[in-house]
Amino acid sequence: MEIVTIGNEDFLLRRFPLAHPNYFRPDGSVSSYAYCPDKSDTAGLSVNLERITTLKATVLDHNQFGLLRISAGNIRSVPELDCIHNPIEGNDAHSLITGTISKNKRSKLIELSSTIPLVELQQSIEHPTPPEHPPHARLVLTCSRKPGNKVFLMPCRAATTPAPKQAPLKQFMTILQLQISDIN
Amino acid sequence: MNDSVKQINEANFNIGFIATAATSSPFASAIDKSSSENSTVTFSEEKVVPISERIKGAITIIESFKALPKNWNGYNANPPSEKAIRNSIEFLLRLSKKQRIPTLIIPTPDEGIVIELQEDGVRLEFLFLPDNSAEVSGYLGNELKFGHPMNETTENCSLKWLFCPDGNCNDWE
Repeated sequence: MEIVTIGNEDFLLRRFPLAHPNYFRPDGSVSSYAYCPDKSDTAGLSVNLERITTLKATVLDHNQFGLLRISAGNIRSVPELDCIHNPIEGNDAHSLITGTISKNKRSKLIELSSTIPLVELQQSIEHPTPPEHPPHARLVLTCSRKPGNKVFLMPCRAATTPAPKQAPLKQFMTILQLQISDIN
Repeated sequence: MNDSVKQINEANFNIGFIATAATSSPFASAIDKSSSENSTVTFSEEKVVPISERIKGAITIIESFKALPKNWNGYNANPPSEKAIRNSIEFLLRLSKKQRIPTLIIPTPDEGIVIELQEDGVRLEFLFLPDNSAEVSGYLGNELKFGHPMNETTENCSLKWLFCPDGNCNDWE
């Protein structure tokens, strides 16, 4: 598996127990110990890169585990923390949060995370979909509103992905511009 | 003030120890006995305090962690250590004297146990580690306000910080 660069806009997923034991507090928040490393986590804390996995594959068992979602940019906003892609056998999406995760940093991470709702998890299991953005076909569309009420959609290439093919892309943009013009 | 646990009246006290290692525990003889309102804990200053059902329930939760399989968190964590279990139960018994109930009890991936107490947005976190040590941390929301190794002084001061922040309470314990 090729190592991919994790951009700040990428999301990472981390499991936490929600049955026995249960990391949910009575007020609905999740304990920051969801981001606590154990003795074997010498290289970093395990997470999955969302764009090359599925919720189903990451949660393993939605009756036992929930999922936290955090952006790479938010991880990097915590001093001395970073995240890297670290594929392992059986899990191409495996990644690591690197740096020493102190109590204070755990609290920051949990504050910057969102819990994936159970409904979304169940839907992903009942109607599994392939990863939304496989690295070889990933396009980030940036939307900006200019004077005259026109909307421009611009393709952005992720650092590790090959250049998109121009012809289909132009057609795609033309269609989008037409549709948006119709709406406006 | 010495809050150390001196004696536990185990008569009819079921806290459900399930592992053979419990034979070394002060609660070992309680196995298979039924629960009762009569359970008490005696502290070294001879104060006898009944153990509430909720504290018994909390102790049962901690004991149940002994049976956790490896990989209970999906990341290959081991179950909590015997020392962490024992120390956290002793803390709960001291807590019963203050009539306080934990809001969260969880094992940690590094073989420890966390007991949390919360009042509004203020939270105390007692962490019992496998090396027999313990730490207490105070949070306002998610912001860490303090963290100390746990001893009788830091335990009492932190509980007072949570339950009697203005220091003007006669009945906080």
